[in-house]
Amino acid sequence: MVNRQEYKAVMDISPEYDQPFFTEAEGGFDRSWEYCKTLKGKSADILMRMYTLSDGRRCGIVMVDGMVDKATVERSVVLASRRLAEQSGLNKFSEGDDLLQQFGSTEFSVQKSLSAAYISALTGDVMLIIEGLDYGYTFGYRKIQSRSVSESPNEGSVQGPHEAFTENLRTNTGLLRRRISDPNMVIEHLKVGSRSHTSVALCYIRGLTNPELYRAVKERIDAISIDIINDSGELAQLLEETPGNIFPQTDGSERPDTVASELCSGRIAIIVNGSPHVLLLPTTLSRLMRVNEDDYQRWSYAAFIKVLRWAALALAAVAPAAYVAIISYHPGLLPTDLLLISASNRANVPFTAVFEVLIMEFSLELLREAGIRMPRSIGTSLSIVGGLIIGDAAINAGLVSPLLIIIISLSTLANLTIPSYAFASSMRLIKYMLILLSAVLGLLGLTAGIIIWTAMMVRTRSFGVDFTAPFSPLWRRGLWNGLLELPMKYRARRPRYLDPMDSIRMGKQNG
Amino acid sequence: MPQLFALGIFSVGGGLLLWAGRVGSKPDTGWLPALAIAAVAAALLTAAVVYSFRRTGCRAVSELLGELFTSVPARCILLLLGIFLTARAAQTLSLYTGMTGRFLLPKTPSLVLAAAAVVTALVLMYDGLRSMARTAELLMLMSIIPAAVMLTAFLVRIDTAELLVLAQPRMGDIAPQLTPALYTFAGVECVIFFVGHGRGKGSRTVPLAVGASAIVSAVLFVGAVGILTLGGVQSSDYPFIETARMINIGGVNLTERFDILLILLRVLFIIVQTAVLLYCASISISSFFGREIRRRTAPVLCAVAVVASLLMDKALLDRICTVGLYGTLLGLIPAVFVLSLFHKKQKNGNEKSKKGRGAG
Amino acid sequence: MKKLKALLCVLIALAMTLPLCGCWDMTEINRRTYVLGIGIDEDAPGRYSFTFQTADVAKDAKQPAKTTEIKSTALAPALREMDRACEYDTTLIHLSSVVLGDSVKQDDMGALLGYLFSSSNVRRQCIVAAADGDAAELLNMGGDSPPAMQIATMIEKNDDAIRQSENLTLSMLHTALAQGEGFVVYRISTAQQQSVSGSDAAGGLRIAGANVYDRAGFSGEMNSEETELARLFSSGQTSGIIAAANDDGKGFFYRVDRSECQTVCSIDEDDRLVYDIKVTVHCSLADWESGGGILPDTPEEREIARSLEGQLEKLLERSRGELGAAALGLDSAARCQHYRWYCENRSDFPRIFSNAKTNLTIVCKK
Repeated sequence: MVNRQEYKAVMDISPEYDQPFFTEAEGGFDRSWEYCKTLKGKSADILMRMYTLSDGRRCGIVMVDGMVDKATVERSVVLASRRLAEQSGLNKFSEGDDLLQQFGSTEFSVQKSLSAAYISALTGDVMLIIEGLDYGYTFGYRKIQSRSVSESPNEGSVQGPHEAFTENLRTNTGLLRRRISDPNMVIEHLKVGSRSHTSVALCYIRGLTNPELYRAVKERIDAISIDIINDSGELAQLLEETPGNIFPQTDGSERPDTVASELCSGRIAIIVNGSPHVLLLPTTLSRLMRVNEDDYQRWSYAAFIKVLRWAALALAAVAPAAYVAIISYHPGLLPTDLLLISASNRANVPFTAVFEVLIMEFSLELLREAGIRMPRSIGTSLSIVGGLIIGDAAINAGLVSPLLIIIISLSTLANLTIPSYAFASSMRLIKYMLILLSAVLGLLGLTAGIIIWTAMMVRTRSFGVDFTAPFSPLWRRGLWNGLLELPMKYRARRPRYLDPMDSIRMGKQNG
Repeated sequence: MPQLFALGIFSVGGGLLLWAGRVGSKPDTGWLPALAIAAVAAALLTAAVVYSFRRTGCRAVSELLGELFTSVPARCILLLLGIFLTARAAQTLSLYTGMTGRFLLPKTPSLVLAAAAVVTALVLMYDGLRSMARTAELLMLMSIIPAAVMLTAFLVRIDTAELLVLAQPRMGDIAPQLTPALYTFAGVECVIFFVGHGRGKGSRTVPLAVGASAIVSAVLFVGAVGILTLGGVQSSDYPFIETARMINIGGVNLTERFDILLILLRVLFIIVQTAVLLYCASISISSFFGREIRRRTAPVLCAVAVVASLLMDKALLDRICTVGLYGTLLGLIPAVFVLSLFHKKQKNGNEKSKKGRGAG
Repeated sequence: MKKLKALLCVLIALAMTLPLCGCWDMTEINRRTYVLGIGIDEDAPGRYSFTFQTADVAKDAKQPAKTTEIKSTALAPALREMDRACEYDTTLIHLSSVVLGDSVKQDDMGALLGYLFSSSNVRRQCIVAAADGDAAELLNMGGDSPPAMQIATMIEKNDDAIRQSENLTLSMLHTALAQGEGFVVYRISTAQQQSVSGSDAAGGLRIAGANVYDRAGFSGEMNSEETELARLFSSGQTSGIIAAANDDGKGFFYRVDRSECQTVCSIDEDDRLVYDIKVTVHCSLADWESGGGILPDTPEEREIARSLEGQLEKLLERSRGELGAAALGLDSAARCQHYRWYCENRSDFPRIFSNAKTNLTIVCKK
């Protein structure tokens, strides 16, 4: 029988909870210290050290082992505490003036709330309590082990920068600051998660970003009530207006150059501590189909690739459904030669076209999922097995026809060219809807499915911006830039649907 | 007085239209004179509408429509309009089930075909007018390339010698062939619902859409005559589809049944058209009841349209649509604009008298 | 309100499950019998022998197609019997060609092929051709691809104009019959001996001539050379080898590489049809070594033009005589340029055409 009293929480996790520092009348330093000890409990990584200052007063520091630079803390905080004692007028500083130079961190704040200071210590700060004061201090001496800046594993490119965000918030904000040295760029810090107290940075450019957008995002973040946020993906789901919608209402990137470009377009970026994936709001269809590399290449090639990408989007969603419709309902669409070849290839296949397609799609989904989860040491072997199973063996066994393998492969490759992983996942679901509709009513079902798909996209809104902008509502210049990639000098204006406060990007001499 | 002037212009325009019809129906007279008279009439009517609009502004029209909609006679007109619009939707569905049942899915029951179209239309209608209009806009954008390919194939395949026939008028030959082209005028009967929304993009989009539809219909008709010959068009139930079946993009041998592209584009716009018609019908009927019950009336009207398309006599449906709907609309539109001028005059008069009393 | 929503959801769900009951039109591509060609010969008076050529899609098939012969009084019952005889439902959506045997050339085309016109699932671009002999023999010819497709391919290649307006398709035949107009059906032969003119053989096939039909029915035949010459009355055509003779009577052979034809039709004061026909041809001389060893001469352009003019005049004469205006497409020229007059005089047109005046101008470029 579990003794629940033993496991009762010592701190109420509600945001309103606030335990101020104990005054002298309430017990002062001793009581505050005992309070911290109670909170520490059996945690071995939380270090509590008490020091005696030169004037006899006691001071205590609380920090987390593994998150701070202990040696620097020992030295600097003690020296700083001596200086503070001098400032409070209780004691004269007895050592030489050169010790004043050893003032601690440039990052410190005064804390009125004991509970807030303790929580701050848990996030990597150092908490300092001094006897006789009814307030405390937190200092930043973080030394958190994290991944160094490297290339993004999910957003590759040929031309352009290769660095990517890491899991460390400060590193990420630093990468962003390096690209936008505008004093108007604001990086606002928020905390999300009643237990995790995850640091979240809200980045925008003052005087450019629409204040209504900022207000909407801030309100939604403030309204979040959850215990832990591990990744920006969780935050994205909590921020979305209609989480049940199949299409993503937030976008993201792991590349600082992409985020910097989008900030300069008028979007808002949200960096979550512990996640290399930075959220970009709001998002649109044209944004999800765009990569920053389009800007780095010559516009003629970039335009060609953009058109190819749109064709790939259509192929990814429609190809298997069109195969089902044509093979099962409308063989008259095929030229006679191709028809006879296809018919003879399917002569021994026992399944109907729709079942054949679903088997192959399911196998591919399994392969895709296994490819992500499996240990790298056996990855190569399993890839070969997967290819054999899905390819040659399936045809030889008469389970599927060769034409279908080509269609499914093309569809999968086309799906992988979609830059946004979230959107590509949505398209995979749309594909299944179209396959089922085609199986029921052939090309008529496919047409109805395309109408429903379009209606679903139109219905989606991302922070007040229509998902299908600039195609609908139509903005002609944006339409051309969305479909193709206009030369740089024709992109003098920021996207109209973001309603930025400053719509001109480029000066007249460039435009 | 502007009101009498507008009334006069409307009357002249309407009279010219009637005269054009009479001239064109004479066997020995060419259709060019009739077309010229109709063009003048259309120009006069458009000028009258624009004149009235400019004089009153969209707000006055909206106010007037708002006032009219609350009075009992106007509500009755709206109820009738709702019925006619539902009949038009049924007619459209009937055309759609006939076409798809014959060329796409011959064994599938018409009820299933109609139900599929109507369920898709319901999904379109779910989020309201703005969403529907934007979906239609997006679908039109997506259809531009296939439509352009189809129209180009039509034009390339034309035997220009056959087109000489069109310049030698025999109205009796051409008029019956123009009637199917009328059915492609998607949304023209819903113009009145967008007029009151003012000078926003909606009021530009609808005429653009109707104009684009007219151009496409014209190209299809010319293509059909140029490829099938006028005799072939006359002897065919679905001339545009028969024409598309004649097209083979030469040398490539990639496409056999080119008509399926035309049919699918047509089905796409039929579903959108059905959604628009039924939505407008549900607005009309909701206005009759004076309550916001669009979400309830829409599914009921969908079911009525499906049943009517399957069970009603097609000739009767045609008569209800052409006489009832177009007659009501053609009578309503000028009346609305002229009345709006009177309404504004009355309103100005009231304001002046209020100011006068205030000064006194 | 909630109950209404729930009811609505149930109704919509029901409406959506309705289509899942049947998938009525779903038939796999390999579960259909594709009729690629139909041959019609006369078996007995009032009775026909229909030869259906179907694709053989079995994996171990030795031939790409097989033929089935069914005797019946009309096409529709023959197709029904064929449907019963086959393992899978037959479909005509890939019908490549319909071949009419010599024995049925004088029969009513409308009656023979009426079923194909009314059925909406027949390929409208299906070529209608005649056989120089038995249609069944032609369809049993053999080859790497089904003979019906070979016939269609050969005839489609024969018409070089982008509109392919010279080839008689089911759709064009339907229109012509409905309007009471004439048409021309190419005659296909598998004869081994190659004649002077005739398009390149495909798998042993060649165009041996054409059967001409006017309003009343079959009006006459054109041989292969006349068929090649008749094509020059529409623009954008080429021809096979045509035998000619120069001023001194020496024979030579030429080929038309490209042609343009402008036909202006007018009606003079005496209500007589007048055709002003200008044919511009780009010719090249041709060798023809087999079947006679007549060596080519090198005539001047005017000699070719004169020779061609003579040949075309003879053809025009035949057209005004027994063949009718349809042989050279002159009826459609009159119809297009004088539509109202044509409609009023449609029934009397053959007689009017027989009295027509033709002014032929040839421009030849070597």
